[in-house]
Amino acid sequence: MSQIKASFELNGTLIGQSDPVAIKISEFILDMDNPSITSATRTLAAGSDILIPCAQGAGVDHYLYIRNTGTNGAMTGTGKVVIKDDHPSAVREISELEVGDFLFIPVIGHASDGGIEVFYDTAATNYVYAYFRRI
Amino acid sequence: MATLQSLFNLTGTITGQSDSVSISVNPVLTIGAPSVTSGGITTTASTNQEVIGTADADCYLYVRNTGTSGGGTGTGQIDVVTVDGTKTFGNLKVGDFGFFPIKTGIGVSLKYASAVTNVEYAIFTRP
Repeated sequence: MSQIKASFELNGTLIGQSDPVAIKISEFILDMDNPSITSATRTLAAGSDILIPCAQGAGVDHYLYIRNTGTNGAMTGTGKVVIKDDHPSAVREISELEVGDFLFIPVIGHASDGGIEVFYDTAATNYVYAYFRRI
Repeated sequence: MATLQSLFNLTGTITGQSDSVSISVNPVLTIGAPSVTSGGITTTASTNQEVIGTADADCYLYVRNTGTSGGGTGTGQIDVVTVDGTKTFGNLKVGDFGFFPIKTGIGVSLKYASAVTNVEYAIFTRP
């Protein structure tokens, strides 16, 4: 078993709201184990990529990070990364990352279906991702 | 419109891997209206609590199971579910958090899993 530390912040002021946004999580420890992918880069020019395969099994959950890094990874371009759950049946879109966007989510494992797949949308783009099996 | 400064870090070393984990990103997010800067709920057995409707625009969702680690008393997990209930795609143990853009038309509910817990969440519309 290994541990990694996660930190997250959102700060700013929204028009018309008196209270500022001040979300802060400092070095929350995540217990995880292999299989994991510490860092990976992919070009999404057509079709789709399976990141976390289906049918990992109930209780086999993962922390997933994805970021759309744009054309050549330079944070430019217009291509989106569409994230879907459940391959190959009953695919549902969950999220869509514009260039620069990222996501971090604990993904639940399923016994018979469920997985994470990313799809090409409007233009080629690059993304980086990592995942870690949660304990 | 407004902007929010984000920061996300993952750091550590994984057994058996030579490269350490060292992810650090801090994009500025452009935000429109409406938004929920800070919301809190307590999960209830057999109840899906909708936080994003299917008619809502694309948005960023932040959610954390604060439970006993956030000053609450809850010990349960949270399932993250599409509003129509057909897809459970996320699960948060006490202390876990998630931050992810949600596409319009899907909607998100937070669902009791195993025991009552406390939830903190925020929603920011993406223009």
